[in-house]
Amino acid sequence: LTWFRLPLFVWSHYATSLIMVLGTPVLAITIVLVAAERIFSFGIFDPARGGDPVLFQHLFWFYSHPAVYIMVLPAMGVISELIAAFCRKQVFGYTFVAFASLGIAILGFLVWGHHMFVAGQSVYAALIFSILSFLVAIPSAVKVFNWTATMYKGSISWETPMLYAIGFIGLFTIGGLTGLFLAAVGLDIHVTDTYFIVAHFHYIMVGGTIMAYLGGVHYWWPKISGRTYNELLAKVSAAIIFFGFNLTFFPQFIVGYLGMPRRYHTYPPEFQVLNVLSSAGASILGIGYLLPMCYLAWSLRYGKLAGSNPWGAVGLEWTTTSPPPTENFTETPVVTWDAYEYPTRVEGHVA
Amino acid sequence: MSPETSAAAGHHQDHPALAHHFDSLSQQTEASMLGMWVFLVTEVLFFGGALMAYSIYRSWYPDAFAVASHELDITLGTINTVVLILSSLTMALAVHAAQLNERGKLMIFLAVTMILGATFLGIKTVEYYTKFVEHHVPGPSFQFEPEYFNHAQIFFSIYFVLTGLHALHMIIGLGIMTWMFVWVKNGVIDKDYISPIEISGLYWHFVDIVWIFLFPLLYLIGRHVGTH
Repeated sequence: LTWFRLPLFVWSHYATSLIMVLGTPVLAITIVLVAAERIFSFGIFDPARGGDPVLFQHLFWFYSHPAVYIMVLPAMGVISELIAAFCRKQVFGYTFVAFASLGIAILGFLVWGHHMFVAGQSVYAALIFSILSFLVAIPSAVKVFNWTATMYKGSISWETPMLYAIGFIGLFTIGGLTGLFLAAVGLDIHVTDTYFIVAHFHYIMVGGTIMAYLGGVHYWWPKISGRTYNELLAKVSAAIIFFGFNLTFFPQFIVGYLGMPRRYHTYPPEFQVLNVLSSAGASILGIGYLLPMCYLAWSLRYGKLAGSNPWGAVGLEWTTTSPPPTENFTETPVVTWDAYEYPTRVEGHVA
Repeated sequence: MSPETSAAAGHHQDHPALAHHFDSLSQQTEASMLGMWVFLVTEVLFFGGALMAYSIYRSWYPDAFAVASHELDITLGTINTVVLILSSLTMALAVHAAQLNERGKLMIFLAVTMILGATFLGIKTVEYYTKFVEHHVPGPSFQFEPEYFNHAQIFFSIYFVLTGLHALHMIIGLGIMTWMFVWVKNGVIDKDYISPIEISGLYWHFVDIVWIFLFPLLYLIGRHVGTH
């Protein structure tokens, strides 16, 4: 197994690890400084003693912006796995997708100031953070284009994980494009602290990340548990989640653009229709999340045995039994093929 | 995953320290060395955040920082710097002794390193005590010249956070050295398995280097000829 035979899921975790190693310690020291101030009455960020709360914001966002990439990068890795497995195709531009993860990880460290356009940083800082934030769109778009290019002329099968993957691509694209709006300083000042931000964030974190992980759970469930779930119920749930999600969060783009601020319990009467739509969507979304819990739990006991490779996918995990034995393999496997080599010629992959 | 699984079945295979998921002791050493270096990178970023705060406030309030810095005991600070540099030397000698498989010397150097580390912490305690007595600990009981009252508090806040975290690292370092001393005594460390000593040494040197930055940044502000 070499670096460029690794599954893209592993590459995305490599990029995620870089962020965790380099970002988390800064959060740790920030918390230490705040704790020293709160517990021992030290003066570090206290404006009454000449301290600067904006410095706290810088330190906080230096970690907390990369933190969203900690959440979304592994989700992108899952999507690469799902798209390849259900299109029966080599991922288009494998090395580009792998390096796009690293690109997002690195650029992700240079854009934290876009959370602070109205916090009192200099216009030049805002300008530079704005440009750098636009740059993050490049590796993100590389991934989206490569996933769709992988689907092009692929032999697509519409099992539940693939439904989630396609949902992810659409919703992540909306979340990403609205992110570009927010990277533009002028527009961002207009929508700062409105529901537009809430909607953007949830399109990435729920429409993107959670959809991807649900797809991943459905893809690897037979491997984890050794059982298959009810495919029809799973597809219905995926549809309910997609519908419920959009009904919840799309109105928030509009209501936020119209000026409804976040973090208030009340709103003017003209925003009522959009808010009711959003609440109704949240209820539907809730049902969509409950259903998988039920049928997955049910499958643990009553599901059909899955066998080692129910999807006919390539990837080392499908060569071992479901669920895998302790330490996964009786003998360390030697990998001499590319990560997504379809049609497979690997023994154990052929059903 | 590794193509040389069978090739690695050398005489190291039976070493009691070899973890089951490694092919050989040298592979295990490489992995644990990398692990320590990665940890040290996280430490750089950890201290880096506080040093960032230091840089900002020192550039904003240079006079208050210089005045507050003069309240620190430069003699004790200098002695502590020498003590720590000496402890780095004895740590390096300990690693050298381990590489040459000289067990007696290794134990002596580890012990001397610990004594020097404890000396540093003892002197630091005296300094902290003086600061308490002089009301230079930030908070409700803080006292200082009215002109610099607020900004000197920021200096002392950062002083206590930075030196406090450094002292915490020293205490952990003493714990690690005690652990290593016991391992050498019990024979866990032998000529084929010295990586724990090397890795502990890396940590110890790192903590010393942090002090090499803290000493001038905190004690020596505006002490060069002609300013004060």
